[in-house]
Amino acid sequence: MSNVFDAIVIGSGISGGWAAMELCKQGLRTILLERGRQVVHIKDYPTANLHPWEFKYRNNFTQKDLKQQPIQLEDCDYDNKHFFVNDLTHPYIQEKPFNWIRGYQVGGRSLTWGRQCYRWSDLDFEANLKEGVAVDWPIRYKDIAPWYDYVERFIGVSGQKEGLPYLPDGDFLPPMELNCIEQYLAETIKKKDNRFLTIARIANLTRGWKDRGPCLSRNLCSRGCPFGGYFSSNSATIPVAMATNKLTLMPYSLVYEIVYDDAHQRATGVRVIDMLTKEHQEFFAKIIFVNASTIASTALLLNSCSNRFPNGLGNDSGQLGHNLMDHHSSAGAMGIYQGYANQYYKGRRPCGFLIPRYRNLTADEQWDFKRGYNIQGMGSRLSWQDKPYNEMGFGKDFKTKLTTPGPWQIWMAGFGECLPYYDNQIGLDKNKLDQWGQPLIRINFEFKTNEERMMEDIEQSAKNMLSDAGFQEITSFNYHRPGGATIHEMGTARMGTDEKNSVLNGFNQMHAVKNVFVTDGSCMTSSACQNPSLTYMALTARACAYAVQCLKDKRL
Amino acid sequence: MNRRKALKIGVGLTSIATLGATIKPWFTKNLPLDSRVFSDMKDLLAELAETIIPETDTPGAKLAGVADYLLLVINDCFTIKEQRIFYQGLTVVEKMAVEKFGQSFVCCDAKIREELLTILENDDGHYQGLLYKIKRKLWGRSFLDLLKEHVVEGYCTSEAGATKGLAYQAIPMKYEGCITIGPDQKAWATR
Repeated sequence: MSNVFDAIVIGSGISGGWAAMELCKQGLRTILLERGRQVVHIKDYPTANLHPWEFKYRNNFTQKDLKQQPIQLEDCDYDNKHFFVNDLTHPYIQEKPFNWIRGYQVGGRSLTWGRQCYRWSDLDFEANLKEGVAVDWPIRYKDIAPWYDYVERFIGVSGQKEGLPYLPDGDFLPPMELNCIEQYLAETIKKKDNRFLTIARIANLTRGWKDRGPCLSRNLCSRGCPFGGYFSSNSATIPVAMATNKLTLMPYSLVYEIVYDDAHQRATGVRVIDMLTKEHQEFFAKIIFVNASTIASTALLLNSCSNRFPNGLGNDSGQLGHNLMDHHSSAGAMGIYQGYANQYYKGRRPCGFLIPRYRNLTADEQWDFKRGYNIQGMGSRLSWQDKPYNEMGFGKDFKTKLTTPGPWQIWMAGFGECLPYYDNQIGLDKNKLDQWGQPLIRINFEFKTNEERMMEDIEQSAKNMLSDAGFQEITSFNYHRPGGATIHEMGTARMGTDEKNSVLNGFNQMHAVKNVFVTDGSCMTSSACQNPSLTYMALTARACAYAVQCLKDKRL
Repeated sequence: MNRRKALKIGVGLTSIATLGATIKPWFTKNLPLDSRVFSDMKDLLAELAETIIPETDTPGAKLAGVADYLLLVINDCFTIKEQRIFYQGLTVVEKMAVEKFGQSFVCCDAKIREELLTILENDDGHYQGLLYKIKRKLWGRSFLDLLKEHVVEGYCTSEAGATKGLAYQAIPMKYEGCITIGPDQKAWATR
């Protein structure tokens, strides 16, 4: 095999899969480098068709699991833990508590993602500029809107149009249904506060789409779907890229350095270590897309030092590694509703509902925090999984209670924006190496006053919505989960208009190294409160089109 | 896993329980218990599980094989502390059966078994609401808590429990948000 390609893509997760597909479709011979094992759609989903009783320990982790994956198990489940890393094999340094949840395999975390797809609006893109926070985004909604369309049309997003300027509608497949308690809450919050409650916009297919799906309402998505009912790199982008005959997919290939050529002022290729044999190899290409995921991509750039860039590739601004963000999703409320006793649901909907952001939509609102949050939740009837409900009693009556539908409940939590702080950062510890000789990553992250105040408001306001709607036994909560726990980590190689204070330009292109593009979560200048993957995909597709045009124009 | 870390021995049980001499090295060395210790108590586990979820017009815990599941979970999933609480609890149940009713728990009839579990539930300080939450926070989960959670889980995730005790659909095809149900409607086994 030749080691010279037109394009190199590092990482095969949700954004890397898109980069590979777009570049291949444009005729570029592309190598997709993935540090983890191969996962072939359907074939490599070992738990996908198992019944509950076919899991030896049912829904429990063993002590051995807990020893091997103490961090990952905080955020994964008994049926998908094989798609999350072994923490002993893949250590990192937590200067403050931070759950770094990783999926080292082809497809990365696109296999296990939450599939929520919400567009950003100019409320989000303009916020930094208006408030003087960090730096301005180099793009606005109009720049990304056509790419949201483009991505949604490929992945297939089901949802309901609501006509809200701050949560733009997309090109949706038919929405999934709200159940009756959710419809009831929707009506009451509309009446009382003029707030909206809409079904989740989700990359699950409510009808067949591009030879995939439809979703059969099993709600077992994160095991990998044998019906292709949701979007992942494995089910969608990688097969399309493969079909072009332009793609070379290399699993077990850890990229540890991007090579910079001082004389030609460009990156020439990458150095790779084979995860199994530990052999080293180089690949060369005209353009390089970095999609190893937030933190890992930036660590790679920090590890790529040269005479020109002694502090990491493209790091003239000194911003590389800084401004790490993650959404917080610790605060919320739940309550019981007496009523609708003869109503139930059938099937397992793979999502809940969304109450779009309702704080700081206008500049004149007086809250003690900046930005806002959306509420995500779900209505259901209490069942055996709800432990407090099953605490008392035993015998025949207990069994009857256990096996008949309980009262309705709603559980909901706020997903809140996290501001970019310079001192929330990652770095490399070159004195501590992993078994592949790579420096360990240090993560130093904390939520600060703005996020804490927002969580207090979420708790209170979620509680109020339930109480206004006549719910009982309402409990509000704040789990105070550490950074990383929402698995929306982003930032550390931000986009910006000025090369003095940002790493990437408005096309995710490195200011200082024009043939390197970073299009995963690392590029984010702020975090908004929307689940971010859709935006990563749109930015990736847009950057690919730009890179290809530059190549055609011989500007690269 | 904060819940696991927070585990302490329930006061209700320590007050009545005395540790058997044979088990002493395990307690002092804080080592996992030999799996045979629990497998020897499988009949007791099975009868306790059946007392919690008895056979009615649908299978009970015994037919659902809950005891086998409990043994797996106790041996491979429990922390040493949880194993310790569990062993102690089983010892207490057996001791109470012998002292109060003159026979082993497995020989007692259903009525006596229920009576024994009621004593345990009361002794456990099963306060309702806030008091209970405080107790649990201070002293962690009790034997009965652990037993019940895993009997329920073992039953509801078993083939017999999920498909006969509850309603189970492997491939529902479609989600319907609001359907009208009758009084005999079973709860869904999975969600």
